[in-house]
Amino acid sequence: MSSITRRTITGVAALAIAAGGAGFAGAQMDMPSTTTAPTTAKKTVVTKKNIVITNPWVRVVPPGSRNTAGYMSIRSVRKADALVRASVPSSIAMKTELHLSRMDPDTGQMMMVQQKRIGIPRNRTRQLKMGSYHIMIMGLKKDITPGMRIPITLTFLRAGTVKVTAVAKDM
Amino acid sequence: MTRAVAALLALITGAVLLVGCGGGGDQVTGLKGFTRDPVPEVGGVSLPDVGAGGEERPLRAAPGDLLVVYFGFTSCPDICPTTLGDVRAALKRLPAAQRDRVEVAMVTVDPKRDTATVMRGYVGHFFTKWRAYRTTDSAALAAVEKAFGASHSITPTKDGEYDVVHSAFTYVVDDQGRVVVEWPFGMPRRDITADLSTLLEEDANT
Repeated sequence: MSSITRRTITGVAALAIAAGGAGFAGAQMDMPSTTTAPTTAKKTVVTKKNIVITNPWVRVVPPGSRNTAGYMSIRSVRKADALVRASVPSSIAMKTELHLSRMDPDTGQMMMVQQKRIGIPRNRTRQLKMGSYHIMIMGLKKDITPGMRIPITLTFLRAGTVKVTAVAKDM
Repeated sequence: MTRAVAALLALITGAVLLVGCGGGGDQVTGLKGFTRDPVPEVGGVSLPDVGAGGEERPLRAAPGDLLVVYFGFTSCPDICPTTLGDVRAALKRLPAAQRDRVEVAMVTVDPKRDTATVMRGYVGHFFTKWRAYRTTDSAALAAVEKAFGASHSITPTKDGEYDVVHSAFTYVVDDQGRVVVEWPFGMPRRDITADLSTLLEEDANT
């Protein structure tokens, strides 16, 4: 875990998780780099309304690559919700789509299927992870380098807009 | 993180592949990945390696070494970089003496967008010992895919681009051109390390 990741956690957000995660609107997304986080904190957490986002990251891809993907854990507290859109600043990429990687059971080939929405079950965590649901970031306009911070705006059916800052990791 | 996917894929592919069979004549036992019987022979096929100036090279490891082969494309945001990242991480866990005996080759199934320059930059980003196979001769690519049992298909999309769908196994080829083990997508990194180590030790003993 990079130091940048650790820096982005806020005491408020950590407290929100401890208290059940709900009710903290507008948790801080961009902490000044001088902020020191509790050493026990391992993950970036952003809460808004009923939505708790953990560990948002974007894959470092080789320089000149066209596309990359974003991943995170999303939990919806008290109500089921759905992620309907994700976007990154136009200075970073042309467009962003919600995708699911899955295997075609007939051919054994891996395919990506665009998703209109990604359901977030009530009180359960939906993992956007490698080889599964992910945010496809297409038409990169700049190289994604380790430690780079990429703002992602998520739109939920119920909770509305949630902004997170993903950290670029070379996994 | 990817263990559940690997388990699922193992179930699906287990139906069509012989899993870790111990009875095969010259097959190495104790491997975590899949082995096939008979062992596929791929040493007879070759493609231009744009990492070596476009020179035609057989898909076969150097003497005493192993060649890890992956078919994919560089615009692939999830499956391909995940797999290559897993192989890279697995290689880092090997002792240096063993790691030096493993070369990684990516074969592009999207030569139109994956130019020689793109391929060199992409594969070279992940690995220190690598080959980047690229051909615009679709029959030559198809012959290589057939030898491995790999496949891909390209479907045009409304926006004038196209979607690429591809098989996502990673193959290990020895210096005789035999596919000695193959891993499905999501194979745990420690299992990749274990298989490479097993195969390299096996080779040292014979």
